[in-house]
Amino acid sequence: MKHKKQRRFQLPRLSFRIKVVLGVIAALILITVVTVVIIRLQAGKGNTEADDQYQQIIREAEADGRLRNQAKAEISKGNEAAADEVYQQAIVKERDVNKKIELYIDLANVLYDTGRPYDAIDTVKKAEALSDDKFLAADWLSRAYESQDDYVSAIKYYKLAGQSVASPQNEYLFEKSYYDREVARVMRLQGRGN
Amino acid sequence: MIVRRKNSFIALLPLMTMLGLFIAAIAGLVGVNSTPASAATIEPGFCRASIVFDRSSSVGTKDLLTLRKHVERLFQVGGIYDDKVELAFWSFSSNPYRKPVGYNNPLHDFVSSKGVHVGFSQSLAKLRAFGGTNYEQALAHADGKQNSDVKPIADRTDIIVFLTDGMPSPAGSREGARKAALKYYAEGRTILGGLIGTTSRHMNYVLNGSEKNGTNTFNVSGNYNDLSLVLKQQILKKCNELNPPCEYNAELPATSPDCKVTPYTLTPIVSANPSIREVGESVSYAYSITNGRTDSRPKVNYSTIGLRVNSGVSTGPVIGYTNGYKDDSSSSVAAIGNSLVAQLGGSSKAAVVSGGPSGVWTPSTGIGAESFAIPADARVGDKYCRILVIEKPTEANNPKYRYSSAACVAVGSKPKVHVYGGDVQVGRSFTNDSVRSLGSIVRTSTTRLGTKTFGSWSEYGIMAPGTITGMASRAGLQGGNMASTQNIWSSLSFANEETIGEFNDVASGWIPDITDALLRIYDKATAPRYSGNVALQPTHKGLYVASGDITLGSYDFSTPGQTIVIYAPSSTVTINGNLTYGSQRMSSLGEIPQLVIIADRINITSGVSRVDAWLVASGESGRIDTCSDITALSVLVCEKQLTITGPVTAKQLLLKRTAGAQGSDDISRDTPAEIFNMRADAYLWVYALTANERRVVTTYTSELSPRF
Repeated sequence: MKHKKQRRFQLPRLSFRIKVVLGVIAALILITVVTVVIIRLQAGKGNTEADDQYQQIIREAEADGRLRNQAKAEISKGNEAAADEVYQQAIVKERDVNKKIELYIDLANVLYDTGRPYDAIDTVKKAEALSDDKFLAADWLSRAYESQDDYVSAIKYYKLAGQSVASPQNEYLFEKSYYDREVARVMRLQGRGN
Repeated sequence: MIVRRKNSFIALLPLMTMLGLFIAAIAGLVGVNSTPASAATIEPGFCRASIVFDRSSSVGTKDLLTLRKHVERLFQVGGIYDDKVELAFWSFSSNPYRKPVGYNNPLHDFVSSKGVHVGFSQSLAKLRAFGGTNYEQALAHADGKQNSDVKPIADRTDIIVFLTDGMPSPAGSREGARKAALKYYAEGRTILGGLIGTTSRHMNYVLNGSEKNGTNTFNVSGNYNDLSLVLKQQILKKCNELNPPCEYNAELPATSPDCKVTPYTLTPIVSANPSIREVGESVSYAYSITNGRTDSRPKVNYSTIGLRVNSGVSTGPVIGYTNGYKDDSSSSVAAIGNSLVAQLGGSSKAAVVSGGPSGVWTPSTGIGAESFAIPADARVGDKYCRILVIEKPTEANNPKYRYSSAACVAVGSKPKVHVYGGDVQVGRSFTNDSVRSLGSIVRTSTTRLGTKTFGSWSEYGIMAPGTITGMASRAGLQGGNMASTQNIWSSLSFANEETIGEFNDVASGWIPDITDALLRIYDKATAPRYSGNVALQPTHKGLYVASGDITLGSYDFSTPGQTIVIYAPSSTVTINGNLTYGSQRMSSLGEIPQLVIIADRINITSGVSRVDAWLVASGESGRIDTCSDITALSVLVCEKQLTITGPVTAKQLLLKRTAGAQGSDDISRDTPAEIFNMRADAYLWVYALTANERRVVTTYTSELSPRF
């Protein structure tokens, strides 16, 4: 008996039409891949540092978000001390003083949003004591005191913030004139009657 | 057979794999992830604003950082921070592939503006600048079709806030944007255009169909440093227009079922501080409105009436009310003002003048204070008054107006005193004093007008055991001084540590006993008497003892060398006319005339303008009164300037003249009411009297350091 030798993997015989279609598809894929590579190369050309910055910003936003969510979750369970501890651990680990101050202010925002304005103010007072640079703390305290109708303290901190606009913490790029206008506005509110 | 089918499947597997890779490669061109919109139910009373961020390549990395910081600020205390206002965002630049989705990423659905939202912040962090400024894509459309990613957000938005820092690129995208805008308008949405350091004409066209119509556009500074403030103002303003507040409670929307008439009663109050001011000085009027019902939050219009009441006109009950206010149903606020003028006596007695602030009051806005400068043409005695008027002070239609009692500031004058040729010293005692004046102070008024301070001054020094306030030494306020701090004009005022004055050594000193010294020269026992009205004569010389109170009429010491010493230690000497030393030439010390009055009280009447004499009030009262015949002072009385030439010592010195300190120029302002002039002839006369000399021989000189 004669055994036919069979090839295990044998490509089917293709018609000319099918070969053309396959060729077009392969060409499209090749063009697409090349285009993607070129675009990404162009976008990334000289932007390695920008990419790093971008990724850093996203990572920081994610980290800040995690802290905030953790703290809010603890407060919703009634564990206010645990919420405070969530941030304290991050503050202790953080070496940069300005970032520590930002973390205190983040915690203050959580406390304020959950109906504890004076705990929030006390928190930012701790941040104020961390550095001779009072800008961020003064900027937040001025708004918080105003919202609590403590116009005297609000004016004091608006003025302090205005004196500190040269601070590197001033990422809002506020000028002193902005705080001068806020002082004048709050002084007008001081004449209100209830 | 089957092998062929199996082989076909195997053969096609690579093709399927390549096709899959192709699809994945295309999908890989799409940028970052985004949080898809959810289809939440819309609640009435909410205001939803979608902010569209330009992330074209012209937006720098620093700008994006500032932008993020400002947007996050909207969710913090002091930002929008309102649980009735929700914010979403999408972004744009130009997507070269013009695919139906993806070109508005990153984006985020609506979240409450009250409190930082983690997901919103994280999506915001994914903004990255790249590409052009496709205006159509900014409004979530491409080739006329809406981005299906954004549609669920756009369908629930009240306001689209379209921010851009550049002109449309490609230029034709503005037509597509205009069509998209018209679609949104047809759906009842509002679009605001924020221009970040760029021209407005394209935005004007997209929003309003005309390059010149800037309705609903606003500007943001090129470095984004006012973004949070501007966005807050624009979004809240538009939200208030779309959801106006309840007219009975400003903190509820008009559509709220709780928006209904809540009783309230408002009382207007105004005060003036201080209540007397000189011409050119400023007064502060403080306005407030109190609400007798704390459960209501009304919103009312207010205005102020300004009145000038002429000097001498009584205001009384016309503009002052027992309960502090009056209700009125006049046709207008102006009619109220005219009525009050009529009640005060008409236009010859009073007039309506420019009023103070006006506006809308709510319990949370209040009314600011007003600073008012007394006009240059104001007369002393006039009163400038303010009245606060509220429209609809209760929830009822009547009364129409309620206005406050008036707060008035009277135009006054602060007379000044000058001391020439000598020091001012307080706190010493006469040798016969049983009570020491250890706490004596010097306190005079100052007036700050324009850039100068005016006040009383001494040409030389000032010494006091207590504080010295206001009065200048070394003529520091002559003609006014630019400085407003006393230290600058007190260089010859004796001081102890940081306080001007409090030089306690003064209190341990004694006033030289002039009486004793003169009585050693003149014999009191044989001296002639004065009594009643005394007319001094050229023949009067030497010591005269008063028998009771005496009155001196005017006299000019034109006789060379005439010296009169009047000794009235227990009596009052009243000077009723000018006493002058004359202006004759003198050739020796012996020709210097002098008058010395030693009395318990020395009164100078209002008609006297010059007294050349030593005034020694060393009696039990020890009082000198410079306008003794007038008790009620005004600028109409005691208005003559008085000059006293000679030393003055007293226990009490009542400076009651009202001359000077008025007018608009420095000379007028510096004109004193009284001048005390310690002239050198007094020293020469004493020298001649004690040394029995008729000439001064200079054998040595001892000079004080020059005074400039």
